[in-house]
This record gives sequence, C-alpha cells and structure tokens, in this order.
Amino acid sequence: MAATKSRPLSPHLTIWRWGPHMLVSILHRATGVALSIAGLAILTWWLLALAQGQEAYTRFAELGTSPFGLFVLIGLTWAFFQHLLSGIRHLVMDTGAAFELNTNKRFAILTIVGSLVLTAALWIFILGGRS
Amino acid sequence: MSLGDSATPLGRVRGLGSAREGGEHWLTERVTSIALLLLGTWLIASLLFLAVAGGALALYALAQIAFGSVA
Repeated sequence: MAATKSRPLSPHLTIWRWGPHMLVSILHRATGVALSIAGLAILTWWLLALAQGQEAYTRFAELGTSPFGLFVLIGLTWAFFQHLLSGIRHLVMDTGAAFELNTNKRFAILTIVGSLVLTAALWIFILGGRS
Repeated sequence: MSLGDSATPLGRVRGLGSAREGGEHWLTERVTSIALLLLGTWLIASLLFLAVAGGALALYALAQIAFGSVA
C-alpha cells in the first residue's frame, strides 16, 4: 500500500450476528487449508508407504485404522465434502443467483447437511464393507 | 501495474485503485475450481476402491496408471 493515511474500514467480524452463511464461508477457508496441508501430507505418506513395500504399508494401514487415524481420515473426508459443496455454492453464486437472504441461508445449511450425510454414507460403506 | 484513466488524480498519486489483474484471477479461480470438482471426485472414488482393495492391488493400480502396464 502506498497510502500512509489510515483508510476507513468496513465493519468487521465482531459486530455481525453469526449465521449459516458466515459459518460456511469460514469453513470453506478452514477446510481448504486443512485439505491442502493435512490432505497432501497424508496422501504423500500413503504413496511412500506403498512404494516401500508390504511392511510399511501394513504399518500405515494399522495407523490409519486406529481410532485416532480414523478420526483424522473421517475429518478430512468431511472437510473434502464441505469444501466441495461450498465450492459448488460459490459457482452458483458466481452466476448472480441465490443472493436472496432466505435462499442463501438455505443453500448454506444444505452444504453442511450434505457434507455430513455424504461423509456418513462413505464411511458406513467403507467400515460396513470391512466387517 | 497501471491504473488507467478511471483513477482520480489523487488516487493515481497515492497508488490506489484496482491492480487490473482481477479479471484474469477471477477466471483462473473458476477454471481450477471446476477442474478440482471433477478431479477431486475422481480422487475420492479411486481412494475408496483402493481402500477396499488393500495394499497389493493399490500398488498394482498405481503402477498401471504410471507405466501403462505391469510386467
């Protein structure tokens, strides 16, 4: 910034009442960061374990299916679906649609419900198929 | 960075105004997001099949993707 004078700021975080759209907005950023950092690390780890052979892969699989491993993986899956659905919401809003307060709010709630349902469905499929 | 003719004289002097690269950035974001929509779904589907299949088949499938065929 070339300007040295302090510029007027628009009202920020503290004065707004929380709503679904605000939650989805910040979740989009948080899940994006989580996916790019933790997701990339785990994906790389998985590839390395695969390349190192049976023993390393078994160790990776054991860690991944431990309670903490499952917690992280299920969390990442949810982050993926939340980011995916929220991204679709952004693409729709890019067309200029869904800015009406009620529609916008409903769409925001739908991304949260949708991500939870998709995550549950995926993991019921995975864990159900194993036992 | 150029401010074009739309900037006020004061704005030009202060270096305020748009960077004039917003349109390209906007479009890039949309293109990558739609690409990720498809690729991300593909990734999750692939991982799902591989997770069910187990390590040996995962290695086989990745080798197929990387090298076309496995000896």
